Amino acid sequence: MKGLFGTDVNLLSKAMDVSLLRQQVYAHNIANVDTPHYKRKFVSFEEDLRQALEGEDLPMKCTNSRHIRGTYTSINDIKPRIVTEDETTLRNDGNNVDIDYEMVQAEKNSLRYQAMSTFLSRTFGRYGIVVRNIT
Amino acid sequence: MNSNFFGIMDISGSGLTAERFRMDIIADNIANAETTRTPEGGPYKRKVPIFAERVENSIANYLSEAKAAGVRVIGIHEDNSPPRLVYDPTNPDADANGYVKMPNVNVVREMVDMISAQRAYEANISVISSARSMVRSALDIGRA
Repeated sequence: MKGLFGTDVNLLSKAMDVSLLRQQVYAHNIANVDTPHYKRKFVSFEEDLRQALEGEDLPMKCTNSRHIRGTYTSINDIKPRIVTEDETTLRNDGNNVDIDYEMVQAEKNSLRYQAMSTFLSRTFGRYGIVVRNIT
Repeated sequence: MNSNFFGIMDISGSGLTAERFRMDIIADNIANAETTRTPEGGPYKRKVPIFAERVENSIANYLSEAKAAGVRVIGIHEDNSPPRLVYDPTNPDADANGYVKMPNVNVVREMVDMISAQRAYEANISVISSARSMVRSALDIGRA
């Protein structure tokens, strides 16, 4: 990605979006802790992202829609997936939400989100320093 | 499921509503634990709320499957297990053999359900407060 901001800002905002979605999924699991036959959901993203970042090949430049595109995937093409864990059962009513696990994960995710937003804020702060010092 | 902060709060809010409703039903069950007369006739029957996952079919943002957002109460089920029989010939509702049909409410069980509803309510509350701190930190981006 070319532009004023580097990949880090792009990547961080993407990760924050996913973190937000993940928090929503935890909220959904916790809200359904007493729903019979409910199966917990989770967000799958990091593995796909890692594969994209390691990117086996460099991107090939396409100036025509009929050019071969190569196998490169851009970060922007990676979408989080919501997966339902329907193999397990925790209780007699068929529900598999472990409330303690969900609470801990939600709290961890919240802290991770705050860490990322602090980091993003500092990143913008560094851009600010650069901008102010151009004479 | 659009990912936004208010989505999280709506989901947990639906959890709060459902748990509070469950609490209402439990209160009703406990209050009527000794009720032998009802408009339908016979003793009071224990009531159970039925929860279901709330599924929204909005425009897909991240998901290709059906969107899910929160929980909802789809109905109240009456427990049709047999009434408790108590021997009390002096009771005006006693039958020919002196037995009174008491509600099929087990107070201990209701108390356990009550604690479970209370804890689930608190869990939803703490998800809302963690979403709130996430909003705060997002609003602080760019604030030197």
